[in-house]
Amino acid sequence: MEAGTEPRSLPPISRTAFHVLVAIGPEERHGYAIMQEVARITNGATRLGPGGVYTTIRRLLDDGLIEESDQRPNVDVDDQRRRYYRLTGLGRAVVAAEAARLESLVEAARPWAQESLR
Amino acid sequence: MTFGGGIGERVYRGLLRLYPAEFRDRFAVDMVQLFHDKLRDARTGGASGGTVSAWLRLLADVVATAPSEYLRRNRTVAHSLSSAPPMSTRALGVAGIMAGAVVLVAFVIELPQELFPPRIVLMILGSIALILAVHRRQAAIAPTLALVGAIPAVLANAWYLALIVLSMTGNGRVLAGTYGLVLFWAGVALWLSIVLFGVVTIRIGAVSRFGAFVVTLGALLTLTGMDRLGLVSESAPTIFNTLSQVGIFLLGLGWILLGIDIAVRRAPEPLSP
Repeated sequence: MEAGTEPRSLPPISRTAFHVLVAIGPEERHGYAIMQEVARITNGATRLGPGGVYTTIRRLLDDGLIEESDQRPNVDVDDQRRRYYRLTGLGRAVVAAEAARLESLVEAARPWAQESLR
Repeated sequence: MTFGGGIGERVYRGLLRLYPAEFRDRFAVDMVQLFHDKLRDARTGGASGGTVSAWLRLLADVVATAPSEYLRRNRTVAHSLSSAPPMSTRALGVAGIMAGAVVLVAFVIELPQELFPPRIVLMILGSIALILAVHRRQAAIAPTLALVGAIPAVLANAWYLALIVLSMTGNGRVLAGTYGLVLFWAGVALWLSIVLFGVVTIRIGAVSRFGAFVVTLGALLTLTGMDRLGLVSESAPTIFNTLSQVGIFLLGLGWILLGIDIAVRRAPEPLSP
């Protein structure tokens, strides 16, 4: 890994990009599954449309954070025309870096934010 | 035929024309499939709001994402893994700036003839460094196309460099008689490979397209100045005598522009979703 692509040196990514990366996770998912998973992990707060999903997928592909899988579903289970995507090693590193960044933010906010909720 | 089916699909396909053609070519089929998934969910109660609401959301989705796809066509979502080059790439970019400066300095200072070969050596070494730096940035976006641009340019530069070094060390005699012809074809390969490199760089768009255009135009014009093409003449100068000089100037300027773009580029601010 180049010095500029080590997790600690990775710059923040957009919220939607992070949602899509987390939605793909360790699995291989197609656009529709990604859309459903984003809605699930955000408790319905983020509902992506086809444009939101595929403009994000396009940039993640171009950045080398995800790649298209060769896998095609069983014809009995799913439409074989669907394209599946999975995280690359770099994509996993970016998710880890972003998660660590958010975690430190949450840690910083927790003491006083919980107070104000009481 | 229903509005959620045949007519609806035609309407949605029409809306997809609002996206850039390159994006449509890659994802229109998948987006239409997702369109059907969304409407099916709306009809079967798998999504909130029903069909009308689903259509409104689909419309809003197109309106929100199509314009941004034009604006962000050449930008990356990670802002970018390649947008903040590592020090080694920046160093190669600096070498490219020096290559351009070495070319341009001859337009400002009258250099002795014996400095011509070392100047060419410095220029070629800097050019190779810059080609490698640009390739590093382009490889993350279009690996195969980036190789198509970089490999011929590096090989042609290396070939030309070897001939110049041979001539400097006096071993040019091994090519006696044919040396001029070999050098001519090495030059043709050099300038054409740089034109190809420039076109590929413009196409990928990972670094300054303006800089790449200047390099491309410079290499093309410089090519016209090769004596064996018969376009230039020392006794009766033609328009190509001037154009080839302009080409060399543009080439130097282009290397500097690309070098600066790589050497001083900073990671952009995160994009909003």
